Amino acid sequence: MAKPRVFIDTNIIIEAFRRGCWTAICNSFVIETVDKCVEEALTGNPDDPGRVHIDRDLLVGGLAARHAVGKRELATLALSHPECQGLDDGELHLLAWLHANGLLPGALILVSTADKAAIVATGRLGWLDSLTSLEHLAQQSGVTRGQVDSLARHYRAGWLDEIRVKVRLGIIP
Amino acid sequence: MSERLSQKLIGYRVKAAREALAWTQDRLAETLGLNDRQSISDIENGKRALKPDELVLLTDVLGREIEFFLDPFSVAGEAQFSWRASPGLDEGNLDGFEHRAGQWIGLLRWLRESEQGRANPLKHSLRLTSQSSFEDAIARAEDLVDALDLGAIPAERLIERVEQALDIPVLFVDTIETPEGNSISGATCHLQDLGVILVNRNESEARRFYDLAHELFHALTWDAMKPDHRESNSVEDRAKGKRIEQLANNFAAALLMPGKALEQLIDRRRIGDVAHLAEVAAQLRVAPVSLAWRLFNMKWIDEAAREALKHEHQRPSVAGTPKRFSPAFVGMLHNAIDRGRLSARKAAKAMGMNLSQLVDLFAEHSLAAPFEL
Repeated sequence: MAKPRVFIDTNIIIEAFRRGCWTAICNSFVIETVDKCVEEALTGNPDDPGRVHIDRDLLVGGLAARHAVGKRELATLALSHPECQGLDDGELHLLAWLHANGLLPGALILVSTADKAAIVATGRLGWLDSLTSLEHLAQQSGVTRGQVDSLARHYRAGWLDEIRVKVRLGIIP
Repeated sequence: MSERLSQKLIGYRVKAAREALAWTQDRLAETLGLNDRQSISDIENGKRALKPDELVLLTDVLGREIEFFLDPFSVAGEAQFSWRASPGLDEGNLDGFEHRAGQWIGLLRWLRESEQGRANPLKHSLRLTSQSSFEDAIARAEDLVDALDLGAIPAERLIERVEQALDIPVLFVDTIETPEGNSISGATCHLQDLGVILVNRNESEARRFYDLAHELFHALTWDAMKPDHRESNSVEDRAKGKRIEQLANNFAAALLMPGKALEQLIDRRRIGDVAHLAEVAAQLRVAPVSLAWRLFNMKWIDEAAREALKHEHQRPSVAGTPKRFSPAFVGMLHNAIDRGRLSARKAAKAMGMNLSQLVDLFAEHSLAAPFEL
């Protein structure tokens, strides 16, 4: 069976490196992202005490593809969905690429994100069911229980479900 | 924020980028292959929606990144500032700080409009013009004390009433400071649909209130008397300022020290008692030097008493340093992240902070971070 394609944002990359499950999920899924998310993951803020070191080779080597996002894709998303303007650059570029390429909502395609605003925006684009959690990816990748349990709350399936229900019921935004 | 408003904001930026190149609307229309100048005028006024290809073309012909047009927090081409800064502060430092402040104000506007759905259609203004006399400015200030129900100690409720009754946000910020001690006291930022007052939170309490009252004058008279981009915050320069600044100073003095309050607080039998007057200054939360000039101008004291009061030490602040920005602003920021309207990273970037610093800001306002690190 073909591995599912998974598109991930900056937050997911950083948390996957922080918890040491990057390589495992790359082995189990076709992990793709956009240039901006790679750039954000590698840059970070050197003064931030919580900064996670991301090994460039390990990051790039694990990716099945990284996509360049052009001005036209960004302009198309921003002009047709002004509600996306509250997104961080990496999230915006990722959704702009997916929007331009018409890949969602495909059953085998998943977007993994930990940011509430990204979940809301993804919902507005009609892709709420395409979302999954890093916990789910980690579990499917055979990552140890300890690593899964160490994931921060907003990378867990329960948290994503809770936010998804709130979006569906109109409790947020 | 509505789509129409986004068009309007993009329009402002098209105009700003075109004007930066000194291009006419005709030239831009021709370059874009549009029929006439009116199409550009409609784009700049937000009346005509841009198509993605047109926006991409604009980035090329105007030499700007796409982000310049799409950044929701940008105030490029819109915001006009009037700064109260030390004469020694160089323009480069001030410009850099203005850019940072523009992001805060752009974010504030976005948050207000996201919460309220639209900008407040009403705007308050003072019934004053550049022809008005100092007495007119003083009279308007004293009337405003009554209209805003500021009571005997106007400083006490001033911030709350300015924000709530006049709908002018007040932000307490850390401004830049050079090794020579040159700094910025405050500023008024004018946008078409919003006026914002910035105050250096590290100034003394008396100076903060004075700056707030002074900037309030500019915020309420911007259309009638546009202030210069920069003015001196030096006490020595106060009397030498332009007429608008002198009007603002008279207004500020009367707003914080209205005649009625002075009648109530000053024992006229002790008008020559400097210690008593210094005590009144402390009650009013103004500097002794400010009260000295106010009483001298009212002819309550003579030159000798004015000089004596000027040299009185200012009493320590009652409330300490204000929290950064304002409870309303930080509350809206918290709400926007918590409700999924704004990503935490985007918010941090606009604030000029990292995520940990954003957590600290929320903690300062007794709010739990609406995201996890």
